[in-house]
Amino acid sequence: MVIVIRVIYYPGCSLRNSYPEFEKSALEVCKKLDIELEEIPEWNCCGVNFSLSDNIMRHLGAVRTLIDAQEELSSTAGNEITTLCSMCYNVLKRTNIALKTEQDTRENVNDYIDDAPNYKGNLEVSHFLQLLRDKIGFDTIFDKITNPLSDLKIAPYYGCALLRPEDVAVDKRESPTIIEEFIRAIGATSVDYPYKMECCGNYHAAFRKEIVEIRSKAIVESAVSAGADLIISPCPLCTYNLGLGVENLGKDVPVLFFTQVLAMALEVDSYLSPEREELVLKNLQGS
Amino acid sequence: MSLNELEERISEISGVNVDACYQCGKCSAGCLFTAHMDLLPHQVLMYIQRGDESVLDNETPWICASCFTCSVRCPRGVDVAAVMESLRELRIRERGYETIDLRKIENLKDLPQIALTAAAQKLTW
Repeated sequence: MVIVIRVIYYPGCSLRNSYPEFEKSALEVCKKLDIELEEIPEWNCCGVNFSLSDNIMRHLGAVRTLIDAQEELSSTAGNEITTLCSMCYNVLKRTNIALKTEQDTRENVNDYIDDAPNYKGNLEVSHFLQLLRDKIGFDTIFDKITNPLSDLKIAPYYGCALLRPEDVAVDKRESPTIIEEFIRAIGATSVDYPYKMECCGNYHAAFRKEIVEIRSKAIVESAVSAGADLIISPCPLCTYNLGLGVENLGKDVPVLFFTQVLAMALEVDSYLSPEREELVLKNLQGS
Repeated sequence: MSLNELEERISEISGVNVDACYQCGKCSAGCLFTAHMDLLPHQVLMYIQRGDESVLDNETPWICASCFTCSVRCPRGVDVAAVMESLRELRIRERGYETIDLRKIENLKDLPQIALTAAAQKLTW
């Protein structure tokens, strides 16, 4: 009997506007792994960066999304909401923690939002990588892949949002292995390099592009000198920023979403762009 | 010892007690963005401890990318990233409502929405 795992799913803006290949490849993967992602009927932008100030008003978008997820959940089993984008994960998770642990904050927000039900604080926020590790299992994925990417050397890029601060970390924050384990599960070789957890420059992509270029160039250079054919990322903003680094370095290093390489290993559509596909194929044949 | 006025305001906004910092410099040692800063992170904390409001005119808080490397490594549990954010907030709240000027973005054409939203969240209210 096939056990289908059903989870409430929050896509986030970037997967619809800028990087559709992230979501599309994930949805293909889910069909193969018997995961049913149930999109929240109504959702808002998460805000991208969790505000560190006392101003909960900055998080009303995220709060409303949690309320919508809560209402959707009342008709299904489980209490988990999952995301693909690590920025969305970070903001929803932190907002959820704030609403769960600070009674004042929860009451204020519930009083303020008078056109929606109160948030009860019984949701759990997860990232899709956690879902793969904890609900499916990397061993199961390894058994299910039909096209092991054994010729590919892949550099895992964590960035910040999956690991920091401590209470949102999906793995050990100074020595994570979840993406390396994922890479092994698709039959590829994981490349170790020192900058995998370093910040790409975040919001500076807009007004101080040079900061991002310097940071991202160092990250990409480090991955390349360790022998990486490509880099995988769990975050649309990191992917854009690392792209600036690639451009600056003048090397052809594809930066793909982790769901795209998983799709390649499961032989479903990975939604690579033609230029990227060419590079990845060249790397596959060349090594 | 009681907190000075600047420390009080920062504590109100971020919940962080800057007085807990004992100036070990670990935040500055691990910070990836110091090359672009005019004060090192631990120096920013020192200015605040002295109640020196000139720190609000420094570039450093606006360079901090909120990567939390400093915050998670601080042996005294000081959330340095939150302190930087509260310094930004103090300025942003003074200015009131403000928009970001899209004309100043050179890579606007290929900039994904996530970068723009991130910048708006950090730099305006």
